[in-house]
Amino acid sequence: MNNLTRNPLNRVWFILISLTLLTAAIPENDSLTTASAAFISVLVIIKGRLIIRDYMDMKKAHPILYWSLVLYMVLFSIAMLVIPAIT
Amino acid sequence: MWVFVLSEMSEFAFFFTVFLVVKLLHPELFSTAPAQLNTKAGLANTLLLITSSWFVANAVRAARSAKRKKSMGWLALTITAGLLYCAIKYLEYLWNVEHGISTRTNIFFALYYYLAFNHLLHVLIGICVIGWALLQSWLGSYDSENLGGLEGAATYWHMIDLVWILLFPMLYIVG
Repeated sequence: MNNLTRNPLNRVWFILISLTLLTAAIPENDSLTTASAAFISVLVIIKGRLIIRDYMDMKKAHPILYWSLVLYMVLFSIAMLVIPAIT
Repeated sequence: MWVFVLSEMSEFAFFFTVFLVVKLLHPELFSTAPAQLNTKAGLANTLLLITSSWFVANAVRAARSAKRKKSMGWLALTITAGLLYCAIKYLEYLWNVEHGISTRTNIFFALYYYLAFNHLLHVLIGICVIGWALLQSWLGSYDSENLGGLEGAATYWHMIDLVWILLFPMLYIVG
């Protein structure tokens, strides 16, 4: 068990799986409001950032490259999920 | 590799923009249509892709520690997860046909098929890229100082995962 949690990649995998299950559970418990669309958007951004930082190992990459990818996830998750819910 | 990955992401950015514009033009349709899709298939594929990203990240980590056989095992698992993704997608498309969902049903499903099938093609390319990295590992082309090819293949696979993380709620949940 210790071996499993010592590897940061395992911890990230566990968080990503949990966030995905949470995303899928939302519409079953709740009619989709602007708030739930915003919540899903935040989950997508967190998941994207974890993959970029820990799986793609971009911590040591050039900041422009790292932040471009993060910005991509932020922009499109807000544009695709939140903006249509507001309008 | 980064030029290739960023150009692929730009391609998906264009598709996302088209989806957004059409969604703003047909808000009623886009709020009801996702409920007709097989969310369980979408969820299963999301879990599979996230797990495959974990496999490939472990493959790179093992290769950096000069554990070649371990790295090859992780790469083989990545390919297996990719093939499972394709199998689930195939079953999902069969399910869609049984439920009368096709590219001609309405504009939402036309875009769903276009985006999901395009992503599936990228998964197939990714399987080939990871397969190539596995072959190169087996041939002993990589060592802990020379991992450019393997890291490039892993980056491509993670890009596929990133795009799907956006596609899953966009197509199956929020619409």
